[in-house]
Amino acid sequence: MAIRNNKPVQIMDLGAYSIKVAVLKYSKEADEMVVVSKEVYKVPNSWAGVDTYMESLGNYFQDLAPKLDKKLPIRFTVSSLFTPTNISYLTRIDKTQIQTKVKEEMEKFATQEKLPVECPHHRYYELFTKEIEDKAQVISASTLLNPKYVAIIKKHLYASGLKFGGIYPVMYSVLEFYKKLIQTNEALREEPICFVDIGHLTTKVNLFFQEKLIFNKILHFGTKNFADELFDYCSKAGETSIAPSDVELMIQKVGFSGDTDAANELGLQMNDPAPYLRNINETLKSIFQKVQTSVSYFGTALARNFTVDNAAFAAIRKGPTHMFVSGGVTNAPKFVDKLYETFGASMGLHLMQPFDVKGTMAQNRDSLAKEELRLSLRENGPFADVMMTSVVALESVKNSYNLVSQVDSENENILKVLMKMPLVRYRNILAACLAIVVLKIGWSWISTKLKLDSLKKESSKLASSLSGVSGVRTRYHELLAEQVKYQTQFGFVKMHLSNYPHWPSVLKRLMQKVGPEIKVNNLKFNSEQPGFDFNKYRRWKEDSSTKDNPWTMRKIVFRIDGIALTRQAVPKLIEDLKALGSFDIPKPPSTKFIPEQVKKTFDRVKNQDIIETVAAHYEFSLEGTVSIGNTI
Amino acid sequence: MNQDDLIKKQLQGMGVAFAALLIFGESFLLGNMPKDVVATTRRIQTLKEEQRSFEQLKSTVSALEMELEETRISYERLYEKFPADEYTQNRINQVITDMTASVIVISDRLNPVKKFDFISSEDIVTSVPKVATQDPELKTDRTVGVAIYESEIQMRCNYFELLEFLHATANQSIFLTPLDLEISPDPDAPYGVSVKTKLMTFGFEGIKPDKF
Repeated sequence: MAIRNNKPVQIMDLGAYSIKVAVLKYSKEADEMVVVSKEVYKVPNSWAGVDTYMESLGNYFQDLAPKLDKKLPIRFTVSSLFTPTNISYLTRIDKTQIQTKVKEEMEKFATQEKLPVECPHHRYYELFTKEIEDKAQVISASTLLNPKYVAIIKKHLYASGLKFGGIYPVMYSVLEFYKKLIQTNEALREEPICFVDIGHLTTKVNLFFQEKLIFNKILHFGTKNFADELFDYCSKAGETSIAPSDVELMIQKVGFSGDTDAANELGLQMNDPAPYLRNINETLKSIFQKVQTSVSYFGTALARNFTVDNAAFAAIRKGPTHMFVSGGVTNAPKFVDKLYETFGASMGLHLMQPFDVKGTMAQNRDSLAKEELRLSLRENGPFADVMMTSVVALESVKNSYNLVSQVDSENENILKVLMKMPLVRYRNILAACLAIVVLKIGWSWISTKLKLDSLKKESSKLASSLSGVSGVRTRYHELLAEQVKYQTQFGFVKMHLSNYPHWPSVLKRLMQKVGPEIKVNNLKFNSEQPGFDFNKYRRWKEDSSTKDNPWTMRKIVFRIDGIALTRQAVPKLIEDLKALGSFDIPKPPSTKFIPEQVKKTFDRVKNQDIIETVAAHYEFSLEGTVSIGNTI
Repeated sequence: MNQDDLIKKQLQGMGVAFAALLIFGESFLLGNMPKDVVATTRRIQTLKEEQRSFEQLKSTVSALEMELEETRISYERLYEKFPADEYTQNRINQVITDMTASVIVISDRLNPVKKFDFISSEDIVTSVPKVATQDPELKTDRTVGVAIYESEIQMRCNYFELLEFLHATANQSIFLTPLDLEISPDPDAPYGVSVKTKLMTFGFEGIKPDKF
């Protein structure tokens, strides 16, 4: 098939009977589409119209969601039940007006179908054009899509957390598949090829020639008719009617073989299965005849105007050379035989094997009769449209068959995910957030209350432990007063005891230094006692300086008045006193020389004068200070 | 009203409720509790610090009590030598009379008391530390009242009796010290001296109120 893109795609075939979904990839080696995963979901409700089907789609998606790939967008392939399609055969239109006319056909069709004319999902295609001078013969296709259905599909997808990948009408999938087919089988290009898809409600007939789709017919007959026709027969014939599911079972197990024994073994409510089997066969034949009629109609009624030349017309008149049949009924026993009975004489017949296109091309009568082919078709047959659409999806850049341009990508940012979220989910998230906020506030209140209570308890405990502070401070005040008294008094006592002279020692030391040449007439000591000047203290407290020191220490001054026989005696006395260390004599002594004197005194007793001679001597006066450490 | 409209209405209602709760919910419900928590936490910090200060104060008081217990007797005994009460002058007279028993006292005069207040130069702790900032100030006065007593004595004795007298001044039950001493020879007695001396004693009147 030569597809370049080998990314996986997820395709869903919305059918009236069942929904088929698969993830497919193109295998270059096999040159086939291969299955990554597949699923068939039987629609639980019987068909009651497109709108009813759409309403129930959400439930179907919910059931299917666990089996779907949530990362890959789902691309839908749908029949004309969902995307009404009209093929128009326009003759002798102005060749400059082809596009206009084709568009007009689409608008007419939209009006007819009661859909809005201006809709981004509608498409019109020019399938075939044959120009004759200034005129043209055109086959156009108009495909419509109700925007309501797009919204519904998206809503249901997003509610299940799935992504939307677009809507592809199956007719165009078959066209593209046909084109791929003839790329590898060139001989088929000049042969009319027919594709027949027998569905539940409809049978689709597509005729291709020279790479173009030239005929499309939707027959409103499908496998549902087997049950409907049988029901009609039973009503008319007075036979017991059997349920559609039993008809299905009978077709699956007995098929079109007419084997009454096999039918009896099914245990259905039938007296004689033979008429039932006959009826089923007739219905099938009827479907085939209608297909034959459709194909013949084009050949007879339209082919003349819508083939490029006579050779093409002749080829069309002969009829299709190959017919490719798909649908769930193709795996029924003896279906192939019935097919050959109707079409075998005139064309090659193929039953679509979706994942073995080469095998499908190579089929013949013998290979079609094989049981293993029938079983393979039972498993894979329903996926024919899915496979053909996957080809279109992988080559979507080359075509415009996707009716919806706004699709989700594999990688979406959070904003897109949020925008796709359904309101119910927003409500649930908001409800959860609300509950969380309420719980958070409640917890905050509880924890704050507990914390506050605990802190208050601790504070109260601490406060009570401090109840004795006043008493202790008072006690300390009393003790401090006592201590301060003792220490202050001691300060005064220390002042007095420093430099306290032991007078006997002072006198002894002094007298020891007074030699025989000196006579002391007067010895005087005056003390300035240690004191405290309160006024000075005030000044000193503001600015303490030595000159304002209020504490005065003891100062003892002394004066010695005496007589020295020699002049040297006094300096020697001074030196000796200084040498003691405790006498400080800063000023030199005052010395006065007294010359020899004769003193005459009258003694009354002896009645005579007594003459006394006083030798020459020095009268001196010595002053200084005494400083003695406390010798006590 | 279809399902979507109902859900939209529900979303609107819940949205408003969510926004209101988010913005106002906590502040409305908690009220002043967070502020109370902060205030109580600070109070606890303060109380813990006060408790630490209190413990320290108690141990200081305890140490001071022990210290004073040990030293009180010694101090009291010391300060017995420095009396300043109504009996002090009698005591001084008694002491001097005893001291001059063996000498000739020419005159003996006890001068009036001179008083003054004294603050020690040493740095003495005088205030009770606060435990809490609002505790009242408790300070002690540091001023001591001092009374000075001076006695003037004139006497005649020999030199050795003088030395004995002077030695005796340092060994009395009260503190005595000669302030002035004037000695001149007395020719009438062997080693005789004529002495004029001023003896001083002082006493403590106790703690006075601080003038500062």
